[in-house]
Amino acid sequence: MTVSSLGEDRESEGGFGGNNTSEPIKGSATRSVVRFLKYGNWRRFMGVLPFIVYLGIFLLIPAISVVVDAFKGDNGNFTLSNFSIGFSGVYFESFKNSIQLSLFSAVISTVVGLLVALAIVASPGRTLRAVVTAGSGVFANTGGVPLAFSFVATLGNFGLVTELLTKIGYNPYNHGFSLYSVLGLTIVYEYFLIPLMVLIMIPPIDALRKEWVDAAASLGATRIQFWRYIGGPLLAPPLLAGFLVLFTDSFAAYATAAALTSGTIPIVPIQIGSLISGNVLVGHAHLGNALGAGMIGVVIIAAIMYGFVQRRASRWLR
Amino acid sequence: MASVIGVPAKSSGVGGSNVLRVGKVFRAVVLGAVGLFFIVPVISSARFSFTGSSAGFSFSAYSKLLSDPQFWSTLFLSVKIGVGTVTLSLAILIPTTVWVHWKAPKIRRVMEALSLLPLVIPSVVITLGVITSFGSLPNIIMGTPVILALEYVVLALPYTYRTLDSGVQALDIKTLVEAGQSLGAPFRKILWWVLLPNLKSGVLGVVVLAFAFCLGEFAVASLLSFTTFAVYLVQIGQTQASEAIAFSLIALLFTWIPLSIVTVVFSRRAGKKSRRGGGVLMSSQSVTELVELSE
Amino acid sequence: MMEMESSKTVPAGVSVQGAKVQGVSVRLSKVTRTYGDVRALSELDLAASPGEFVVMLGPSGCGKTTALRALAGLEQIDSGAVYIGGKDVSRLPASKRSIGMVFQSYSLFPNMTSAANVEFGLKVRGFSSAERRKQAHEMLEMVGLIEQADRFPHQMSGGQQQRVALARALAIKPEVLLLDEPLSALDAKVRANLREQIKQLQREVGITTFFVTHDQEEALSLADRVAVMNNGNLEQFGTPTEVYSSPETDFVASFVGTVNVFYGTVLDDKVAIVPNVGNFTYVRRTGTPAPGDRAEILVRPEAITVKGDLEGEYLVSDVTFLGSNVRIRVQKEGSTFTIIQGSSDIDIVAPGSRASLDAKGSAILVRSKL
Repeated sequence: MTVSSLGEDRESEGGFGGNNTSEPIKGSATRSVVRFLKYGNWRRFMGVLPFIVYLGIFLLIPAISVVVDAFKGDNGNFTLSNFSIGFSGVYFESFKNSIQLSLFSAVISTVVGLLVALAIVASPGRTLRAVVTAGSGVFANTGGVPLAFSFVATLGNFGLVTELLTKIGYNPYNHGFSLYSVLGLTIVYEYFLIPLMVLIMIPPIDALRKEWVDAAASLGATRIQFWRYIGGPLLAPPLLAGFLVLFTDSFAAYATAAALTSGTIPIVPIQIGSLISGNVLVGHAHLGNALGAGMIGVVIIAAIMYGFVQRRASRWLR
Repeated sequence: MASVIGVPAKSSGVGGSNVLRVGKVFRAVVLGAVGLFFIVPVISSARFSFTGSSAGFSFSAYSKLLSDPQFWSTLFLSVKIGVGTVTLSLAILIPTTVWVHWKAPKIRRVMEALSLLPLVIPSVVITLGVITSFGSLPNIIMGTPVILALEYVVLALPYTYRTLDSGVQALDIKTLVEAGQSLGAPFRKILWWVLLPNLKSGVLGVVVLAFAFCLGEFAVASLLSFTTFAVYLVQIGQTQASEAIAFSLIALLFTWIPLSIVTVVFSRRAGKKSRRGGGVLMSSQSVTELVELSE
Repeated sequence: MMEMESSKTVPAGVSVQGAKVQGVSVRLSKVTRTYGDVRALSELDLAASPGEFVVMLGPSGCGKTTALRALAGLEQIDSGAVYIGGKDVSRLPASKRSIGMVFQSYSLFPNMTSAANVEFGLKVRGFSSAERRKQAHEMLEMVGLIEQADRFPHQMSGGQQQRVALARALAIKPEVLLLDEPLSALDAKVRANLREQIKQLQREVGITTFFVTHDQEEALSLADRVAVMNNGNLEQFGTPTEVYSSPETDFVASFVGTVNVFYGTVLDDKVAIVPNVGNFTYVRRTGTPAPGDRAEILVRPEAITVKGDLEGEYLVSDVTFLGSNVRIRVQKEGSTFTIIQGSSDIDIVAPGSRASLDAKGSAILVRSKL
């Protein structure tokens, strides 16, 4: 490559660099497909066939059938009416509630989880860190029915915290709060979402090297400049990816909400649940499928964004 | 970092107070507030289970619960489903993960992604799909808890697959198999005598995670109208709050204790790995390593 | 990633346009730093003349990195002062001192291309983007990596990364260049190559440079002066020749290079005798035993020769061919001695045979028998 002028050079280099980042993935994929077909390497994949078949039968077939049947009327003919009902009125409201609930709870847990992760990575002792990490591992796995009931004992009408607040003259139930509302659910969801975020954020914060801080300082950067140009950009992708994971997680959550509100809160999973349990709208036996397809749609959007974030980050990650 | 002496924490070069320099006050406030949020519900549950909404301390909630025959029968049902799920999971996952590492390491990533699929599709939707597509199957499958075990194998995959996969990765499968073969052992025997004993911690992880999942799963079981442990818990919750809360506390402790053991065992191993690798940002890895049994 | 270290050398001429700086003097004065009970630095005095290449050499834990970091402002000092260009900078944070620093490894910002890394120091100084680009281009050209300008760190080899780090450190036109074991994470061939490149660049740019290493070969080949450190103290500060041939302390004698310890007698002010080997000239200093006393005589491997001798007192235990040289190990009464000879002498002795030794040069140190 001859270097004629600065601008030109940078441009051609840009193209070169761009190719280079994406090529290894593409190249190896093509190559492995060729090898796969050419050298009979498919035999190698026989061993995973049982797994794939199992997954196909018990996950993919049900998922696909939900989407397919969403387009069927009661008589089996193609129709879009399930969707037109599913995305209007009370069902539209529940989509709105679900997305609102997931957004709120994901935003809160992202912020709090990040703060906790920062606090424990920065702490000098190993013990505190070990305790918080192990605790997060356990609490992130807590959920569902028991969680719902322990919050009834805490923030329910006769819960401990409610009682204490009432004693100091502030009964939250007199001020519009209810555990059995979207706000209440948001609080309960934090119980497993925050630890999840802590677990997600510890490795990337850990991976911020002291050398980068030192190098930035030696180059004249202030602490704020370090965070703006190096620390921030490095933490943004895992933070965003984590946010999307939390969003999906709370969007799909059913058990906690069902146990807490006895299936009365208008969010999509609960609506699908009550349609399954027999509250079928006459003439729209497949309405639940339309709602399910809608949920899959939302989750797919989140998954695509997640993939996009990961790909952006992988420019500078291995 | 050859000559930084007396300060091992700093010389590690990773993380450490130097990078973040977070104030003590900030740390105390954040960890204190969040810690409170996590402890208060446990305390509240304990108190509620002993006193109910009335005053006075008693074990009545617990004794009533333990003498309730349905408590035991639903627990037994959930345990049966759990045993089935664990057995089936191991039967499918051990050969699969061993095979992937031994013969087709290139598709490891793909397999990992596949194992995470159940996280993407909400379990309510899967249940709907099960009804839609298997509704016409004979009663022996759809009408019995067998269908639950079959589905739980799939739904628990995001936790079980990764656990076993990292267990297998810790072994050098190829070398072990080749060493076994060079000594004249057939593959079956190698799997049984060489690989399985070395996979103990991975298998244990799968057992704990899958079992805890089965005990706690509510959505699929209730929507398919099976009265499992978790479903029964909700049923009592409608009428007898203090019993349900006592029940919850027991259930929480039952999942937390084995989970803490698994977490400690695995975090120790993961810690070793990450220190060795020293990779830049492991976000993608960590996100896929999420182990959550919430729903 | 293709390793291109060997084919790339600094294009002389193009390299230093505008990069030439007037070196400044640097001085550490009675710098002390303790961690708990451990004294990492005790009253360290060290001064470099403008443009000088100083290598700080010592075992791990000797305080050399602490000294370098104190100089950079990355490490607080308990007492003492740091002067750069005659100015007391002890109170300034790293970001306010005019230093360029290269770390052991992994110091490039992973979210930036090499060009952006090099531009970073200029960016925080508020240079315009055109100016930054021009400078970064120059710097990358200087280290021979202009074609890697748009690569991210993980797409480059370790050697390339360190060259970018060097370009980044120099881009801000610092008064002092600090290198903290920059070569230790690289493999041998790349290391040797980059070492040459660093030396050449330093000469051309003329910047006062401090280089920390535990590798004595690296130290001796790079330095104008070597500062040998141990336990937070400066053991000796001198040219490589001085440090190698006339170590001032026992530590320096044994840490730098290989030594043979013979027992003998001090003959007079200039000569010490090892029985059956011969006379070694030496330089007296305080603590050298008086003439007539028994003494330990420290001799470099190349200051003795070995010859086959059926009656010899020494047993040849090992002969290793090293290319132009041969390393011979002989034993006597449990002590091992190492001799380096030219390869042409290889057929003289064989392992297992008896041999005798002859003095050929001077002793580096004569001390009382311990």
